[in-house]
Amino acid sequence: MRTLSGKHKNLIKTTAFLVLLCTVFFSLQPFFGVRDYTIYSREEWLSSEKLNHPDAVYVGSSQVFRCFLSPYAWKNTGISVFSYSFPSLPASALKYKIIEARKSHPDALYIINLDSFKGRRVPKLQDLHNAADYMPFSLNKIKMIFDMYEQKEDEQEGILEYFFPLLRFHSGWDEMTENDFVHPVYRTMGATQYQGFLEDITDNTRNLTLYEPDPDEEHIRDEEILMDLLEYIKAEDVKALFIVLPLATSRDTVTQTHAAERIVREAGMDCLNLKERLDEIGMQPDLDYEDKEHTNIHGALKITAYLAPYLADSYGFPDRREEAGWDAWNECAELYDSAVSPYVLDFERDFLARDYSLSIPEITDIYADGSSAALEWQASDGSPAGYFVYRKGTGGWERIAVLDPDAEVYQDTGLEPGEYTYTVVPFSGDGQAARCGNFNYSGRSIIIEGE
Amino acid sequence: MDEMMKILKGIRPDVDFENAEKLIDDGILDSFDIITIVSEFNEAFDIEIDVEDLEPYNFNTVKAMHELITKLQDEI
Amino acid sequence: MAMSIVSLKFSVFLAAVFALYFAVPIKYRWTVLLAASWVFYWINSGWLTAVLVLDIGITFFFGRWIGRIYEKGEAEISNDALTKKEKKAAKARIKNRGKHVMTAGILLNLAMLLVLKYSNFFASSANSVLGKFGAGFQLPMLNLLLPLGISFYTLQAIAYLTDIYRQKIKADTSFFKFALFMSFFPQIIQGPIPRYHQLAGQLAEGHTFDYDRFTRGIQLILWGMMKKLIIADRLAIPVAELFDNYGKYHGMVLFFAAALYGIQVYTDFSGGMDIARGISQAVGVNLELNFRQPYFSTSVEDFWRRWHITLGSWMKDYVFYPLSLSKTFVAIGKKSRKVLGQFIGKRLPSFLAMFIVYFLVGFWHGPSWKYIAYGLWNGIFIVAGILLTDVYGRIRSALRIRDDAFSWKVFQMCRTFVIISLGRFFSRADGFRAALTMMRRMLVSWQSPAFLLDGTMAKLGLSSANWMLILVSLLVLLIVGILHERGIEIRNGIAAQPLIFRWALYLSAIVILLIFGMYGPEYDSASFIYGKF
Repeated sequence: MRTLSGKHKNLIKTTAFLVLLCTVFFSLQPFFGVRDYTIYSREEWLSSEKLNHPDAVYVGSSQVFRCFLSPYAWKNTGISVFSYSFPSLPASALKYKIIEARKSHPDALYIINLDSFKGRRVPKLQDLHNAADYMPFSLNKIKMIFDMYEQKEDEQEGILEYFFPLLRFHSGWDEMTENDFVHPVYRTMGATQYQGFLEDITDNTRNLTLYEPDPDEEHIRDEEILMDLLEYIKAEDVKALFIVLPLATSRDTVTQTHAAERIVREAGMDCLNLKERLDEIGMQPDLDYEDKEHTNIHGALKITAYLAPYLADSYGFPDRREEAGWDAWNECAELYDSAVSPYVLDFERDFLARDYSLSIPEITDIYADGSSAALEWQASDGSPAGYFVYRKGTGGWERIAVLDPDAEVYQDTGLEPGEYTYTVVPFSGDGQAARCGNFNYSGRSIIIEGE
Repeated sequence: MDEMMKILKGIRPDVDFENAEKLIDDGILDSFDIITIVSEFNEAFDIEIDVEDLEPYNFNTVKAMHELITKLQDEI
Repeated sequence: MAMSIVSLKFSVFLAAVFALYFAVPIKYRWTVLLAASWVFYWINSGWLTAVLVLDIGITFFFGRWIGRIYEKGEAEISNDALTKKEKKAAKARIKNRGKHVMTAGILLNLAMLLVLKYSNFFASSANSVLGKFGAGFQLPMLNLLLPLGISFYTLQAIAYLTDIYRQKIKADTSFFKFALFMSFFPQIIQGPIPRYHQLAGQLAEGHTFDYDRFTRGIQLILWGMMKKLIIADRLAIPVAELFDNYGKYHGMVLFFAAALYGIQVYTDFSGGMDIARGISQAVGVNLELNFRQPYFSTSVEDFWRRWHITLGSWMKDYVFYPLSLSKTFVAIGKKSRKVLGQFIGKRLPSFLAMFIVYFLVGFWHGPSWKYIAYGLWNGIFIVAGILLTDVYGRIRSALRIRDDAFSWKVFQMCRTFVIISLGRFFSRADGFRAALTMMRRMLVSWQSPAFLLDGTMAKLGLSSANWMLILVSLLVLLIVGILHERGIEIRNGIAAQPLIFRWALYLSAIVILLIFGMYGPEYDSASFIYGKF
């Protein structure tokens, strides 16, 4: 009798210990994941914002959250779009992210980034971690990891590390900060936080080519994944819109996306190709891009300025800015605007109408004279109705002068010592309806010395 | 017995051979000592201790060593 | 497709083996171990398993042969018609026959080892001599694969045959039980080198499940994994940087590199030993201890009684004693006593034997001149240590220090540490010449000891947090070592504590291993250093 209960005691002890061990192991996972807390913020927002159903959820990769700025969409039109997008999200993960979002928001419009179907770039270790690490544990997550893992080719440790990121990221223990314990949450409706993106106004002469698709290429490498996604959309009756962003990428990628677009249209899905609307959007290949895959802040604002009203009109999304219960979104937009505003001009942020026929009035000369700064610029083509002069000191851009169309110089007096940056913006129309043209994003700087 | 003790003390004067119970097991005598002891015993008692006899039980106490020597002397 | 002993795959394998072992009736439990050992071997060495099986077959066959010779001999001698003298002659004849068979078996074993592991070494050494003499041809280099643990099981087989010859044991009658003895998976990779009379019986008899013993085994495995994954694999990084780029470093930094490598190989090897012993303990088998706080040794001779203990005792029983007591050596001893005087003369045969032993120890480590140098380096200092005993004694009494004084022990430990660490140049450097260059560079170029603080450490591949971790781990290792040296069995102490404390300890250990262990795709975990033997 005694030995029997002894055996049982041992069994109970062992089981209890193993349960405890598993609990400890699972509770360690959140501290060791991909150290990108913007990713964490998106997942957290999705699961915590259960009461407010956004009008649309935009799924894709960094192309999405750096091209479409949801806080500005809200600020100007009151539509609520959440960018549930992740850096380098593989095409195979799109369906699962949609499923995840639909758990909380089944009735939203799902905007899907067609550029993600660029043709089987093998997902890297990091891409899988970006997609999986902060996703809440569920059957959907398990399926997603298995599906993405199949696509991956480089022989790494194994699939376990995607379920238990501790197994990969434990090596960073000596670089842990308090962020790793209390993850910061960035409330940006999924839009980008990256400082580099905000500041990239330095090189405006990238001259990126917006490629045309190869007309002979018919075959899309990601066909299976796309068909699977379409099947899901049809079966679950998901409201979906496929968008092709006006990005430069490469001939091959553009061709793949074009073929994907064809399949999507043939399946009867809503589709919007922004590459066909470049003039309306006003994208300038030599100004508005950060690199082949992403726009800079100015390009992003242009795209958002075009897309937000389009969505509002096409889908009848109401303007919720005054509605009760949406204060969080208002606060979000305020915060985002204050972060972005030092880098952009007022008419960009306010989605005011633009006139892109007016070329950049480049500042040809700038010099200081005591407490004054003087600038000269070349006239803008396209017969502007006048010029605005904007100045940036320690804060954001400020309009300091409205000039006649024949003005070529301006003198700014009474300046305190410091560094000032100037840019000149041509406009057509008049007064409140002035439509600004192209301008030099980085402007030119001058230092005013003290006495 | 006395001659044996004289040899032992001559090789390792620091060891208390009379009372030791585990000269090998406790590592008091090392392999060099063993070889020296064996070659001296072989010469002094005209016996042939060979490798097979180098087991701990033959050298752990002086009594055991004495028994070994006696046994080998009888065999001749 | 090697299955590293610290990998997840191996843990799963182990769990399966344990479950199966205790599920099967006691009489058949040994078959589970045999199957597990061969599965493990197959996973690691594939078709080379055939070499192992061949060796087991040969050794088993020759062992039985010797046994039969003795049985027949027994019958012959027990015939009362013979005189004492005739009996003695008969015994000698039988012994001789046994010796021939044993030698044949040993030579076959050695042949396999030498061909597979050392043929390139012989060929390249011969080639350099041929080259010097302007011969027109060169011997071909075969790139042969090595079966896992061949250096270890070959010694095991030689010991087995010799012990039968010496009538210490009887040949095994069951091929499969013998095969289990030869290929038992925890010890086949890198030892400890077992003896038949100590291990075979334990393996063949099944063991009941003892909860306490099982958990202690697991604890030992955990400890071994911590030593290997936290300390050894972490030290591998600066050691690799220092040894691969020794041209960038000067003076003491190079000694530091050798010392670090010594610690790395200690934690790696003894960690592996702990894992092997822990696995065995869990199934009720006791493997021999292979390490006994080697860094507390007071002389190089003492070191080799604490480091790779089973290799040392194998050498003692199968090389040192047979050589020293052989007719040739005894004759040398007699002659040298006349020429070199009593003290040295008496000891010369054993010194010679000792040099041969350490030559073999070095050579056994690897087919390279640097390993031979490693062996001889140790041998020289052992002999020197014995010759200088009196000198040290005189220094000590001149300084009025008692021989059991702690400060004197510390001096001895430091002295031993320096000698052993210098020897590590030979085992780790790229080759014999590289080792010499490093040692010369260490003496000739200058580096102030402040290198520990001036930022050089940061360039060796580990952050300062990691160095702190190493320091803390070494302190823990030191404390554990001191406790073991005093004979305190730590696992007893743990078992005596209340449940909450024990569980907190186990959980902390596992968490520490998970977080600080060097595993995963971020690291290329350095494989066992001795595993290639």
